[in-house]
Amino acid sequence: MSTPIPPHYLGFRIVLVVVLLAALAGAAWWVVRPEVLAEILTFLGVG
Amino acid sequence: MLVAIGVLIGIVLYAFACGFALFWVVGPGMPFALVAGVAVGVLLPLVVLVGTLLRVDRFAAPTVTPFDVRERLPKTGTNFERDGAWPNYLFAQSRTDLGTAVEHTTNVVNRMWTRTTAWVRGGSVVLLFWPLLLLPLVGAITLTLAAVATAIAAYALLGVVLAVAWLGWLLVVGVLRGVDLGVRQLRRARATCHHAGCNHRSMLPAYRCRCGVVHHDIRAGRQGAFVRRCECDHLIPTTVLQAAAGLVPVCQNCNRELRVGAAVLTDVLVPVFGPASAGKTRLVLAGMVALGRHLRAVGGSLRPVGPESEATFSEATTVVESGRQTTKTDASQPPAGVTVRLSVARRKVLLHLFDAAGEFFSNREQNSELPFLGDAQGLVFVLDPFSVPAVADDLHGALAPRLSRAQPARMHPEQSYLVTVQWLRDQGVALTRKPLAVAVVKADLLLGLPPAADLNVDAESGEIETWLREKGLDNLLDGAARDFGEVRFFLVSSLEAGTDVDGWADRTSPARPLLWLLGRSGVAVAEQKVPVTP
Repeated sequence: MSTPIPPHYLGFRIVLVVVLLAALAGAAWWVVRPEVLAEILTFLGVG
Repeated sequence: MLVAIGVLIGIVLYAFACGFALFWVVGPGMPFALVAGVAVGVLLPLVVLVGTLLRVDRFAAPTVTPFDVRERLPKTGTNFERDGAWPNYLFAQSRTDLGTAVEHTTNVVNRMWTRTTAWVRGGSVVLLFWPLLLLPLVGAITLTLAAVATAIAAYALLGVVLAVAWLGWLLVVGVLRGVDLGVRQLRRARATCHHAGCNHRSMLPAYRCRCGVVHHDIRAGRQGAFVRRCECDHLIPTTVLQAAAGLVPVCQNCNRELRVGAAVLTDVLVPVFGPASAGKTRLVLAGMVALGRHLRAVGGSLRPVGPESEATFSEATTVVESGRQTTKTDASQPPAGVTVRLSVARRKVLLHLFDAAGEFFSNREQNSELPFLGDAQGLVFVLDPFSVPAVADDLHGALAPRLSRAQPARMHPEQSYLVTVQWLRDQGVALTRKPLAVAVVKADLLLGLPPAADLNVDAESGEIETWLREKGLDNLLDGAARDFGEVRFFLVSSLEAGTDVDGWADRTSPARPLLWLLGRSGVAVAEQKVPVTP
């Protein structure tokens, strides 16, 4: 196939990546909240 | 004894070491193993997914191209396979991308377990340190569970995103298809193949891309919502209304090019039937010329479409203006349609006139070679009054030359009518929904003769019918009234166009049956001058 991949393929993929990264960022934000982070550190025995 | 003591001490020391490892190493290390397992397990599917979607080297999924659509997309509801166009991301590539990411993630986890178990199996000495192995074991189990959970969550999330996109696509496709079809239905547009022997009619023509690839179904769908991308990378609109602006329409049946404007403009198909030598061709030629003049008089226009139609129209003009005799229609093959584009009252119409040689209407087998008969909006039956025995029998003696000058059709009109109509009935054609124009031709020769003493140029449909009954055509007329939804009779002289100085068609103009059938097809054209009041 010599023709380039349709731009809408890239568009859809970028949207999906953005959604994934947003979900990951949301999860990271939830984890680094002081109360959750404290729980984790306590669980690890370093808090 | 010493050996036993030594073994006992060894066991105790090993047990102590194990206990020490469990208590001081494994115990404190376990939360770290758990957290690390969760962290890696969460990140693993996400990293692989992002890598796959961004096509990072070995993570990249294979691309679904136009050459894969026949395997990857559901079959079409038509007789044709999928067209050579790129599929929409939602219907093939998305599954390939997500499937590839799952495959990569599973491979990573599998490899981790394979290597770990191989390492443990490889050396039995390693098993002596079993308490320490608990840490990587717990880490691997946690990683696996976290990876599975994250993958499920991530795929559910992407599934929701794709489902929302799918709903949007469904809405766009529905609206586009509905508007495209609705506008064309209102216009009564159809794609009529004018080529001899085909005459296929449909609402949806195929379109040929500039690269030569024929797209049989350009409508919005799995291969594009607003536009589709041909395998040559050319963009093709997904509505017939837009495609007609720049693409070549192609017949779905014979793959040959259709007239410009097919399936977009109002489409009227009018076949002319009747026995050989009845005057069908003359009626069509003079009718076209007369219709052109009449339309110009009412502010419209008529122009032939396509080189064959242009040649026929040019010949028609010459024949009508010079009064030259019409040549016999080729009976060796079915006719190609003559297409003229009419413009009247802001409405644009493609009128296809089909004129087959009379031999085709002489028996059922030959009728079957004329598929256009079955899908016409209305038909014109050409009735040669000189072929009616009651008329011909009265023309003897001094009037005999008038009969021979008329070159009457050899077949009785009733026979020709019955053969064609019976064939149409057998084909399941709903004739009762169609109008029939009966053109009693050669009026220029007929009027003034004793058998036509009751007729004059201003004869109305009812008067013509009465006269035909008097001449013994009751069976034919009763049959026509029974077969067709509406029947109107016209007295026609096709020797000339039959138009006045302004171009208006007079009472015996060959344009009259066509104007009436156009009106029955929703294309109203003023038939008579509005008298100007001082």
